[in-house]
Amino acid sequence: MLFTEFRYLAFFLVAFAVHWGLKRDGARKNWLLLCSYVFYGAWDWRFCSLILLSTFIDYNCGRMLVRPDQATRRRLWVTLSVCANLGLLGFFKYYNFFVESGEGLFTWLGLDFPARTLDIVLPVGISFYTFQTLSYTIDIYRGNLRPVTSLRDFALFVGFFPQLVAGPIVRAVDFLPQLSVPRRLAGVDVRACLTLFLIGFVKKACVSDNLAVVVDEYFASPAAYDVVSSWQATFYYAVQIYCDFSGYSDMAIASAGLLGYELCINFRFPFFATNIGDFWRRWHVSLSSWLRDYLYIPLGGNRGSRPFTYRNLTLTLVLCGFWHGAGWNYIVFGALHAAAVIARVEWRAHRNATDASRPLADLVGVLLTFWFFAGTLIVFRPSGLAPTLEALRAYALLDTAGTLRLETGFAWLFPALAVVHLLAWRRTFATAWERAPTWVAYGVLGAGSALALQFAARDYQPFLYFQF
Amino acid sequence: MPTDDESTTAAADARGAGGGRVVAAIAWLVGFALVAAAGRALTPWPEDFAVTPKLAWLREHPDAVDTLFIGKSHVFRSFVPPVVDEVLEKRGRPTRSFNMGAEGMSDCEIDHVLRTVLELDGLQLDTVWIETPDWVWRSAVDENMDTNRSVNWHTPRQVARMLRRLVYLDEPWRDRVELAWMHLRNGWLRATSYGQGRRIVRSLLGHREPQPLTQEEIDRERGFQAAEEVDTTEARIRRERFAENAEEGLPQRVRHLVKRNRIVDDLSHYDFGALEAQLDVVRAAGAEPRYFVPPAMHPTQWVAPLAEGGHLPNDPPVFNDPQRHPQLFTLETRWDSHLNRRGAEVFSRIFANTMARDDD
Repeated sequence: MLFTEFRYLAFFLVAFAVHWGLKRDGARKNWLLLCSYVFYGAWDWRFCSLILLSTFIDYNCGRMLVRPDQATRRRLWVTLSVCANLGLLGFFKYYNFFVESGEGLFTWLGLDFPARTLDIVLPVGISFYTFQTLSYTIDIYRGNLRPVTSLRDFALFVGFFPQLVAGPIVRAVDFLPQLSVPRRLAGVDVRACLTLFLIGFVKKACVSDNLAVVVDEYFASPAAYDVVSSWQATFYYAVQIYCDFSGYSDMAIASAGLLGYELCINFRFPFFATNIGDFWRRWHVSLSSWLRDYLYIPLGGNRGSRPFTYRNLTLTLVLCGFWHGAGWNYIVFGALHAAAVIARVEWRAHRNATDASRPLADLVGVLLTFWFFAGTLIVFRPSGLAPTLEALRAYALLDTAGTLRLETGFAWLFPALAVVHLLAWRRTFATAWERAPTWVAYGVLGAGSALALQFAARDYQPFLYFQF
Repeated sequence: MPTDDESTTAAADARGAGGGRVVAAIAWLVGFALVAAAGRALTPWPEDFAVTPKLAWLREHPDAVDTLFIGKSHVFRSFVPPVVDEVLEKRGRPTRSFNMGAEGMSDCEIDHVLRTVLELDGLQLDTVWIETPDWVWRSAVDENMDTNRSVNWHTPRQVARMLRRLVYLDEPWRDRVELAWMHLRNGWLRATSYGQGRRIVRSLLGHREPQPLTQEEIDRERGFQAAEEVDTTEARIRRERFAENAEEGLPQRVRHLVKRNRIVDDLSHYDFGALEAQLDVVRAAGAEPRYFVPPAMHPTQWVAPLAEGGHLPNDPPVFNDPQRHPQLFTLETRWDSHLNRRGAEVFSRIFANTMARDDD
């Protein structure tokens, strides 16, 4: 069930109406839990058992972590939680990758590999909820969080449907306290939520899904197209991925908001990042901050020599790439970003910039960062080795024998999106929108919703981040 | 609440409580309805649909038609209006007929097109000949459900009709729920002109999509197009399949048709309400509704009991009967499962004579 589907609208209206129609907060939470499992079961009900398993394991680990008589065994319980979660993730997401890679290596060495690949279906959203539950037990272990006493509350934290399948990755420390305070409809900023949902819908259904057609056309045979098309398609792909994922996050945050819950920010205008380090502080913030807090800093962060820091950066970004999918392309994607971050750190250490050159440097930085990120997406996209190399050659070296030219019908989107993005970044209309009379604001929202439906792509495209 | 991209604000606590919420809901609905209605009005009909250029022609020539034939492909490929008019002229009954048939129309789609035609300004029809509908619920659900054409006929009336049929349908409840959902979804897609924005803009900018019939062709043939003149991959495949085994296959299919024609429906699932509504709408437009069965290669077991039960305004002429009209079921008169031009002309003469005889 996609957020842009008619099915979701019907589902959410029922969920919303019953949720606020119930008097007791406990009944509301029961209802939301039921809705969440129905929502997840709409993809494949068999995987509901996987979430249940993860929920039970971490709920119990969490409780055991604070039992006085278990003080010496705390490390054991947190290890159990980490192994169970990463084990499930590793099996469902990475088992076949490791077997195939091992097989390739053994074949190259002229040896027989004992294991075989399995017919495994990747459970939707497993990477997201695994990281959520991990944050719970690790935070308790670190003493940053008290374990939740209600299994129902914990199950709702893991399975809350707006963020269940594609994030944002919600931390227990942010979400669980909300479950202990009764929600009030009067406290919901409906206008802001509806506005955000509409913005997310436009990004996903009107921009991303429409661009997908052109992008798919190019990446099906990149060697056939000229350099202009290569840049065009690569930039489209960057915008497609951004609008797809940030659009989904917007709709998730808005849906949760309408039910009275707050989810964390996931994107902070990443295309205005002036360097690649800045980019990762703006892109998929819930993942990058998770990796920072639970991997980079425990590894030592930048509290050591430069090579030590670079090792930590590389490990973190390579794992970040690998989190996205079980393929060498994702590992290379992460490694490229690690190299760029390290290069940027080195360059900054040796440069001699003055404040006067700042605006120009920022502009160049923004353009370069976007160009680099878009280029790495060629690697990120699982197109196969030959098409990827062809597309990279055309994009980075401006070298291709192709002569075809892509449709330029969407070219106007770039300046339009840039202007809208800039206005949103500067919050140009935010105050006016907040102060607009109710009938004006909702009239515009209604009209905007109808218009967005008209310009949505005709066919539903699955969210790109579902595969992660 | 935190908002992504900080594009909206997380201000207001309890904005619009009580009366404010009502105002907000009404404003939202009004804004939505206005833009949706405008979009609906501006959405062009599907470009791959023969009905679209025919509607355009009728809009241009509303006073040039007094008799309409409407139905599926066996109407489209069988009625040659100039031939019908010529025969009736000779019989002293001048007529200006028009073929409104189109390939693959479901009964609901025919009903929707018929209603659209009857609403055209200046059109004064005397008689409307309609392919006798079976209103079979499932027939409207196929692989075309996701096409613009299917969405186009999902008016609130047709969706309500489909949902009403749920009660009578003899299918497992899961299938019924799934079918109901598909129709509701298409109704929503139509009401909101979902995904039609680009087509609306292109249409407003004067861009015209290629149509299956030109206005000159319609001028000449009055909505008819011979099966052998259609140059699409699908038509070529259909013809090849037919020609491959025609000598043995056609007589076999004809024998099978004769046998199946003997089956009679008990009408327990027939939607009489839909039929009556169709009769009413034609009569309200000042025209006389008439039903018939085109020279199709499939049986119509619901027609005889309908006629015998007095549910139809006329005793429908039946042309899918190879025993009564053997000349319409030969290799000389068929292109694929449809008539060829020669067959269509033969059929049109027979039909025109039937019309004249009925009038007498």
